[in-house]
Amino acid sequence: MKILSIILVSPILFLSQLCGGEGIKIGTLHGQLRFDPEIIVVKKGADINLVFENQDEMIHNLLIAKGDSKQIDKLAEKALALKEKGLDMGFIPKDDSIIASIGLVQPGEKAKVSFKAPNLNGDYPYVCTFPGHSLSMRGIMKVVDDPSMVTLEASKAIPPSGNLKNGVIEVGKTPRVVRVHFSGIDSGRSIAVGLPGGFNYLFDAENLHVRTGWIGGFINVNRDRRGRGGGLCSILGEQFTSGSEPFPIRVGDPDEVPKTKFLGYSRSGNPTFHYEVDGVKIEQSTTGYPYSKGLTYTFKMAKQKEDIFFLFDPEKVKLASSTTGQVEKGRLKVQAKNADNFLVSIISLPQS
Amino acid sequence: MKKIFSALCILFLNFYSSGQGKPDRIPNGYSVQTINTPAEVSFGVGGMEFAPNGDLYVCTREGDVWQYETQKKVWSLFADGLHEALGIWIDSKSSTVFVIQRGEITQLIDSDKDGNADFYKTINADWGVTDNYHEYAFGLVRDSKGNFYGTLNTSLSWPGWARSEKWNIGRVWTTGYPDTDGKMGRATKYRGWGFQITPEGKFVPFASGMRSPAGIGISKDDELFFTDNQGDWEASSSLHHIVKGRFHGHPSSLMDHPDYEGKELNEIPIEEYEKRWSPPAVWIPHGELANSPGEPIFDYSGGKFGPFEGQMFIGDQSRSNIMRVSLDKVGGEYQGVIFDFINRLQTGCIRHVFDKDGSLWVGQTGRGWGSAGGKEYGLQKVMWDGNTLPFSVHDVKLEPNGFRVAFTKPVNRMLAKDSNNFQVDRWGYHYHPRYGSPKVGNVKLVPKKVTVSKDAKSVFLEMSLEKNRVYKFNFQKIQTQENESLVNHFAWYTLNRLKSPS
Repeated sequence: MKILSIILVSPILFLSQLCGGEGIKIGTLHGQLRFDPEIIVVKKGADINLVFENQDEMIHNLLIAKGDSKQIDKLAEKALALKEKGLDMGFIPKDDSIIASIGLVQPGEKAKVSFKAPNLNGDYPYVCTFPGHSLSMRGIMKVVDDPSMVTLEASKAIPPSGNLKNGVIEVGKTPRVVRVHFSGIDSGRSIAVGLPGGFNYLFDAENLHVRTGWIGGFINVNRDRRGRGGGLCSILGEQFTSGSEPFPIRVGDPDEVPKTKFLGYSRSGNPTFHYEVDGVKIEQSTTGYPYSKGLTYTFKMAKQKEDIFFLFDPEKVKLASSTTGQVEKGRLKVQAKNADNFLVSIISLPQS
Repeated sequence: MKKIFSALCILFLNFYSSGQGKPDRIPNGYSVQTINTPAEVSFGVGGMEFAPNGDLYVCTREGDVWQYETQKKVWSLFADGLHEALGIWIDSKSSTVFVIQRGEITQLIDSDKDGNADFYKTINADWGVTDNYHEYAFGLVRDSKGNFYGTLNTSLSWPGWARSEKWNIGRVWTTGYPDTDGKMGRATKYRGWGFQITPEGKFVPFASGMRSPAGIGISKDDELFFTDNQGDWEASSSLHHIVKGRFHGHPSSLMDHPDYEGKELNEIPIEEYEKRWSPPAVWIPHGELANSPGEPIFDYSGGKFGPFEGQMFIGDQSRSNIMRVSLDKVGGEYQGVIFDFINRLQTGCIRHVFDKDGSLWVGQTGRGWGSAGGKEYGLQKVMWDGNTLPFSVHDVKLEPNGFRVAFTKPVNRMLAKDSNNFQVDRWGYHYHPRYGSPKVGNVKLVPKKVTVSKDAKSVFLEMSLEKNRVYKFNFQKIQTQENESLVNHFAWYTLNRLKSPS
């Protein structure tokens, strides 16, 4: 049964066809316990020179056999049963079904094997039998009369990736708060917030500002939740700039990079981020600015002795409104007496 | 053809039965129960702890914290949106929940007591973290003085695959060794360190030289241990005793060590690193016993978990087995012996916690590195029946001129007094920047003399001793007086120091 048919166009395959000789290369995908490619085609009875190049950070072997996936299960169990002898034998068990094999190949290294392709057309599986790898590290060697006539199809055995539908996190009636790494946003401490109604933003807990906003869907975390995790997630929806630089809230002196500390966040109602800037404890919450690509920030703090500044980039955003203060060259200056609770709205300017 | 087909079917069934039913090897008196995890939820266990009311809290790689009422068998979500939470600690008096995630230690506060955390309070975030996916933060233990401890993975240094531009920082291969890509590095501060967070919340870099320190454990005397994985600079998987100031072998972390400020680590000869290096207390021979060891946990069940009170248990993420360690303090330092205990559970074992009944809960994740069993995640419980004494090697202790091996039951004297029934392999490892080490100086030994104790529960193996070696004993031929054989007949003793005659 073909669960998923996919046509793989492998440059290596073409190369082998063009050269006339049967030089075949199989690699490994880094960190995924997968071969690359997962399907190769060879000519019936041809002399094959196979290079196995291990681009992963773990040790792998390679074994081509006659039989089906159950035969591979069997070989994997036999390899496991080698126990302490396995390392010496490269976890290649003795079995009549094996056509060719390459023992353990260290990360970053490669090894070769030459063998004669079977004289019988058909599919011959290949597998890594290092303990634990055989479930996902599998491929198919197709043996045919004329490789150039073959349309490649493979049922890709992708390991299950959890319960989220394709990794999409949606926002319902209550806000979502999820720590993520996004592609192109260089902060290890980013927190995505999805608000009901479709406004979303990313708060950078290291640099204490909103990095970006977006309207529409929330996020896709598929790459963080499969394989080894930690993969870069993506924003769903239409992104807009927040026009913000690190540490936009300044106490007293707007030109001085402040001493800061992130304190955490509340998830009662609209998420509120708590942090400290030059010893002043600040609470920041954010909502969308209606009918525009914009955000409204609410800042709360105790009664201040010094003026508070909010910095923004006037080339990227315009200050749509604020409940207090005067704007001057990309800075909103809020007088100390009014700083305990104020709102600022920015609207993203069209980017050239 | 039909015959072949049915033979294949049997093999197929065996394959599954070994994964989901009774493990292939489990000592008599022990059993395994599989706990249902929340339906339709990806549940890669990152940490487990019991609250004082008996509820189990589990934090996951997917960033959730789940609460489990063990009597009612009901799961509820306590917190979510964390960044790969790989450790949890709960105050046994106040029930306060702390987790460690990539970027920080967080206190999860449920101020309105509705069962959901509503304030995520940052306790400390003073280590560096980038978008390099390998920068895991593992934990979480707390000592009796209120200090937290955790361990920080090195950064992956592999172009294109670190998922980060910050891959080529702090790779150390030192003089005389080739610069290859497969090294771990240090993309930001304190990668490769074990750290302490004081009760005041201050970050203290505590011990360096860690590579992939996936599990940390603490004894009742506040002694800290962590496990590391084989790789560059790490000859094999291993268990280390953490002491403040100690260097555990991987040099990338030394970028943040005051002694190496401004120095080019690749120009420092390997001898200097080796001199600074504290070898592991116990080698966990890679590929033979474990590939990716997780959290070490001590059995303080008071005998409710069988005859191994005070010993340590460690699960492995690749082989899905549970191992047992008996430490031996020699010359003021820990070394000791490791055994296989259960081989294997349904998937990769990484986190462990004992409940008040003395059962060992095993948190599992099979995602990312290939775990025997193949399940993506799971939760299982190992129980002792309180009655059946399994025939096991209880411990192996070093003496000045050999090893004293203690069994849980009296052994057959005829078998035990024959020194040919004790086959021993001995080897060492290289300390080098390469990925893992082959066994070095492997020799086969037979004890010069065997003495069986009066009660027949221990044997003394007199033999030549060499330090910085692993001794692997095969006790397959030893039986009880009722002809019972050992379920796990190998023992690996790490001899770092010789014992001087007292």
